[in-house]
Amino acid sequence: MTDIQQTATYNQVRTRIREHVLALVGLPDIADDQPLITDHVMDSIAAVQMVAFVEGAFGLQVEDEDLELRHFDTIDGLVGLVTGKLGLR
Amino acid sequence: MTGASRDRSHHRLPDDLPAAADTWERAGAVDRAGVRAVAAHGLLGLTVPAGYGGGGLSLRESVEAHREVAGHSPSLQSLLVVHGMVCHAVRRWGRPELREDLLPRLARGELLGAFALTEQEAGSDLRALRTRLREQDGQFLVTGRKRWVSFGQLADVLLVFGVGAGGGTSVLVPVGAGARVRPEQVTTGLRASRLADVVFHDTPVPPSAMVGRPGFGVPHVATDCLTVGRLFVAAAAVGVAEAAIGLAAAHAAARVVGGKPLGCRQLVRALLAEASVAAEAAWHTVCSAADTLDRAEPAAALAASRAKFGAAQAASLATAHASRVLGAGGLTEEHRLTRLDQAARTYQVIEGPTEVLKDLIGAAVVNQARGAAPHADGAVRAQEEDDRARTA
Ligand SMILES: Cc1cc2nc3c(=O)[nH]c(=O)nc-3n(C[C@H](O)[C@H](O)[C@H](O)COP(=O)(O)OP(=O)(O)OC[C@H]3O[C@@H](n4cnc5c(N)ncnc54)[C@H](O)[C@@H]3O)c2cc1C
Repeated sequence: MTDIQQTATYNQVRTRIREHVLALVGLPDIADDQPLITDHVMDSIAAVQMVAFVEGAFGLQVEDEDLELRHFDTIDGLVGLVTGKLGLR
Repeated sequence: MTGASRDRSHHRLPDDLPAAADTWERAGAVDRAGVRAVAAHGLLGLTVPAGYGGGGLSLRESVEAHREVAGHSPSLQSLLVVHGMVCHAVRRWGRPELREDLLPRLARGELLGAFALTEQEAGSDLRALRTRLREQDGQFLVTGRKRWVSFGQLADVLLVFGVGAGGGTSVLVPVGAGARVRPEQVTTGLRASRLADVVFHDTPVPPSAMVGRPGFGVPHVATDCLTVGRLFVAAAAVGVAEAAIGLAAAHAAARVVGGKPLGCRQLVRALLAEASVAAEAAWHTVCSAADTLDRAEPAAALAASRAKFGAAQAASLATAHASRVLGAGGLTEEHRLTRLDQAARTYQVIEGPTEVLKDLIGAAVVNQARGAAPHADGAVRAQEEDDRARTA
């Protein structure tokens, strides 16, 4: 993949994650570094749904060692987890 | 009986299950022979992948077994629930060495698993968990007390949820030295399910026994297990509803009052109609939730909660209606309907009390509307953030 393609894919991942999080929490907008779980924006059911979403939308397997709060607490964290697993960094 | 279609069966039940169920209920205890029989029929590893010695069934295929077993013995079905949740947790969130070591033995029923989440002060509120998981010299020391552990009296391993330095998680604790297991008082519903009160005091477990990461294990592994558990309980509630309807229908057909069978009375027919349609609707919701879980759709956890709520309501309605149709005979302590009625009441409390589920489901309905209408009221959200975080 060229650098430009990488950046485009990276941005698509962020957009897809943002859209999903906004739909899940029912808010019009949210900052990428807003804590979702620790600030109770998202409940535990929504957190479980995030794992299912990440696996389904990007064809990934979330392993037990990925289950760290920093990966799921913010949009930035989720983008980092997914792009890391997709080898986009 | 409800008009819901019977599926091709993916399992076989022990032939003597109906008779054995009566014995267990009278004794207030499913015995080891009963556990061995269900293990021999593969019922303890239904959804464990075939590669690990399980039945390799999808959840959609497995709910049929839960529905059928519960129709005979709600207590025995609760073993399938808790053991199934432990299998699920180990397969999905256990370390590879734990999985390879334990899953085949769990699937064959050589090891019996139980689910230890509830505490005296932490029932539906998971944030109140007090059990401590302390790391020392490369192992975990578990200290705390767990209540109402179904089949805790017979289990070999307990999936224990607690809080450590890095936050909440779960560990698989072998029952033996270091864990004091005492029978709970027998409950009215699921009275044969061998409930235990378990106390741990610096009980050591190796790091490989950790299921889920600190900080994520309690909200995540617990919610994930409860999602599967809710689906199984929902299927059981349908089985209970159908069994009650079966008893009521048979009685209505045979019992003559005032010169004609009860089943000719419109008000009796109305009771049967209401119960039968409620049970059928609940079954469709269960099947659809099972499909949603099998496809790992984001809405799976909510779908399971919806199914459990609906099915528990259907079971309560059906058993209450059946009780009216059966009259005095159905109100005796040893009657099968009494067992079903008490199970239905229990289903309103376990695996997410009805009120908690209604709150969660209603919040999701509001949320959906808010997603579509971004200017909706923010005050609702502030109240909700607190409410929703409180319950898994
Ligand atoms: C037969 C049986 C088997 C069980 N097996 C297990 C097991 O294997 N493992 C295990 O860990 N636990 C088990 N339990 C415990 C069970 O999960 C708990 O009873 C359940 O979580 C409810 O907790 P509680 O009893 O402490 O009730 P509480 O949390 O005190 O709630 C009591 C009632 O308050 C209402 N309520 C609670 N929260 C809210 C809310 N947020 N909004 C509105 N109303 C609310 C509901 O009506 C609820 O029924 C079992 C219980 C029974 C009866």
